[in-house]
Amino acid sequence: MVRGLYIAGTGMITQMKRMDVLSNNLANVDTNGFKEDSLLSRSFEDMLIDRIGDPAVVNVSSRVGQLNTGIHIDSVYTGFEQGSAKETNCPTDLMIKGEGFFVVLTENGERYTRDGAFEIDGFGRLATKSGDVVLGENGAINLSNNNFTVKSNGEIYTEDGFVDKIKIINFDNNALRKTGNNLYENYLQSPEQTSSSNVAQGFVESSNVDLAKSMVRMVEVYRNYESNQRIIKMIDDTLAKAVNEIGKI
Amino acid sequence: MLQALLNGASGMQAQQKKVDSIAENIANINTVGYMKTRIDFKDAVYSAMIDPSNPGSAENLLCGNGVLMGQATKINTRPIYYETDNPLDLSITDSGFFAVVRDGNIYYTKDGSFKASETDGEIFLVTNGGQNVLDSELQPIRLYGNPSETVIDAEGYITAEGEQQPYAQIAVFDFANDGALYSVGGNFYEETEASGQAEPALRPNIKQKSLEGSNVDLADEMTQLIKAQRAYQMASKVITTADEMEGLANNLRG
Repeated sequence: MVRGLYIAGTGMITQMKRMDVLSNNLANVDTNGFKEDSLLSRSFEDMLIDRIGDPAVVNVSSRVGQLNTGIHIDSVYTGFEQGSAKETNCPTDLMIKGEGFFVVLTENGERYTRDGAFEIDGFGRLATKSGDVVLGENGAINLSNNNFTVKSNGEIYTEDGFVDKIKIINFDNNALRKTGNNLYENYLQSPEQTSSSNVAQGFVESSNVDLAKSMVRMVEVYRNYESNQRIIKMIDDTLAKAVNEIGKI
Repeated sequence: MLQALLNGASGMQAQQKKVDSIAENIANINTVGYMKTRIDFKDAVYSAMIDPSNPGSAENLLCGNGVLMGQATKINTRPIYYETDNPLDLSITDSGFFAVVRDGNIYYTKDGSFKASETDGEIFLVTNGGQNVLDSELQPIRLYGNPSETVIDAEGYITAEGEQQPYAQIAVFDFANDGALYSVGGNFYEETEASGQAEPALRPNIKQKSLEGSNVDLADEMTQLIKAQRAYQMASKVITTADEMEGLANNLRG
């Protein structure tokens, strides 16, 4: 009936979705290796408006022009910028400096993570806090205790010498999707690339969520939502006038 | 619709847990043999949003569902050792735990402030709480001779005053993952599946007349506290904003 009503409605829906994504970033402000998401939106396809049954249209195009009918969510973009380093002095905490991911073996296959807050599991292997084994170039890394050194190139040494090199691989970042538990899934089967990033022992990468930026964005989302709501009310008032006042004698 | 509210609430809950653990650490800043607790978070499951122009799309369109507490780990680093006058105060300068028996179960502790206690005419080595300390055969340690002249060497061998031959060895165990030990209170830890089995420590390096302090670093804890408080505040702002947004929606027909 009135297009503006629906267009403003799509604006409200999209801003609410944006708020959902934003609130998840803020909840994960202290999650190791967390990467900020942002919601990208897009307008609906433009359409052409035609005049129909207008007697004034003679020998002129019935086209009025283009109109798009609002906004919808398009995709979620994850920003893989490096988070700041947090010193822990714990030998099982590792941080990747630069691009790349640690490889962990879960029951659903290989997953990738930036969260290097590992531990030695009950079997003496390097594992994530959730118990998934971290892979080196030659499979699981057997360390038996936390008396080991990781060099910046990722090679792991214990008192008995070289053990393994920690596996760090890289992808086209757009091919990755979050699965929870600080893990990523390579859902587009993008080919693995070797990464030459350095590893720092005794550090964890903190979340890259920027509090100030997120706060500003939250204000923006709120106001945008509010303006869309105002527009709906305005159109509603206009319709009320049409319905109740035009016909009045 | 309610997702933002729930995410804000999960953020608040998580930060509350963090503040709890910081409070526990600070309260135990002078507890002998205390290992500080660290809380790590992880993101919760992601659910798919639907792109109205392309509902079946495989695009990355996932919205998170907040944060979960990953694990509370015991951190076993950088303890401080201090000297005492009591020859029965022991510290393990390499990694390891003493074994004690309480109510028939074996527990592990880093608190080596032991005492001599007399039961039925025999003197036993006990903890502050009166639990027997175990030797390498997992038997309660009896002390012979004058307890205050007992000599305990780096390997844990106990020799009575004036004797050459040790009569017992104090048990020191180590774990593959001491961070996953379960704290049962009273400075005692319990073995768990994640910590692995107790193995005799290779080099206990026991020091007499010395105690292991807590490894809590006050400056670090205070920094964490400030961070947690701000994150908590932020999460509560998310809830307020999401609530106001829903208020606006409710007022569409005002």
